[in-house]
Amino acid sequence: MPISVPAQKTVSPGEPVTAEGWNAIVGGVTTLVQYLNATEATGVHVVIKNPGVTDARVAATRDDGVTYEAVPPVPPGTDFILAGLRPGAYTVRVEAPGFSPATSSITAPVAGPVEFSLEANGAFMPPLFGLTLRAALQTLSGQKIAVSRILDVAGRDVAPANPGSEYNDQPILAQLPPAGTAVPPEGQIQLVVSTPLQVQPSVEVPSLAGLTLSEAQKALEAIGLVLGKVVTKT
Amino acid sequence: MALNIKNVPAAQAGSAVEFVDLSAKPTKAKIVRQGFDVPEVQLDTKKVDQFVGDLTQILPKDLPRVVSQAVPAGTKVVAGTVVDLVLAPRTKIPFDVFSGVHMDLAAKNLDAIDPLFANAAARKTLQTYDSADAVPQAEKDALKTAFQSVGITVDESNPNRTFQKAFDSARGGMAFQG
Repeated sequence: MPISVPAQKTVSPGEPVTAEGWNAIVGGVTTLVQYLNATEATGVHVVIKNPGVTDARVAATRDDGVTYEAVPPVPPGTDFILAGLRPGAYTVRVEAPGFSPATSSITAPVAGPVEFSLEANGAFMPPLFGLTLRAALQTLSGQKIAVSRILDVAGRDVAPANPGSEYNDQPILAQLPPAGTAVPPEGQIQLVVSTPLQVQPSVEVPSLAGLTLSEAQKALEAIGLVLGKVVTKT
Repeated sequence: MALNIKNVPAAQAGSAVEFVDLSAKPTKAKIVRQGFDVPEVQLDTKKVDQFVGDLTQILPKDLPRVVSQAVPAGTKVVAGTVVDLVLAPRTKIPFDVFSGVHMDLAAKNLDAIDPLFANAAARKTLQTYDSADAVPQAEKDALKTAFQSVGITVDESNPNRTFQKAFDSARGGMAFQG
């Protein structure tokens, strides 16, 4: 649908906008709205059948090499829209993290939506927060996701292949990348695990004033303290 | 090496056989002082017995007492912490090491009120009650008299000579008794 430029009539400062001029403005806006409506209606809708894929890139390449990027879906809509395609042959290409790229040939205008079912390529990061390190590593192994590095909260490296028994039951506190992110086959992820705490019981030092040496030694040893250097002054 | 293998009752879970080393050279103590071995001394036991018999036994109350500790009382520490001590003879420890001491005791050493602790009634009162306020009037009166006998005058009009100060000072001195 061609859009024709309305008559351009200018006015000088202080002059009123005439009825003719106002009508030209209204007519121009109306024509623009009609154009946009017509363009959207004739746009090519692309539907990705895999649930949850919203960060895909959808583009249509005309036979002369010109590429048009699709507008991503605006919730609650789920369709990618290739607007303003003039009639002709196009190749639509869809790329999304975690999936192999897919292409389809179309000839615009297209009556219905163009649908894609993407083939998974790699895995998606599972939610690991709060799982024990042992369970997290088993989950990742099951999804063939390699772990490149594990740090504990004190910044110490923990060997992914052999974390050590003290870490096995420690909870995962952070994961990179976040849950739901596609992890390509060659990709590696990182984890932060809690540091095993070693709680040492504390004791309160008693008042020893007035005690003999043997009494003081007994009082200290009874609660696990050690008699150190003793100086006797006269 | 000779080994004595001893059967242990089955009720003792874990090990059924216990090994006791009875070899010709048992473990000997190696005693070191300031980095050097302490020489082994051969004593004439008869003369030692005679010498010991002539000595006077040091009574527990005369043993040196702790007056300072490297880790202050009330400090929370982990088990195994080493605490250094300084001890001094009770007869040389002044009463004014106590905070809030009764004025009549400020210039005296701890042994100055030994006669007070020889008084069984006074001693019992001091051992029984944690604070001066808890002492019943009858015992308080008796204790005042006992205080007077060792030179402690109770005067409630003088904040440095109150019964409470005398009681607390005497309780402090009691920690160094026995």
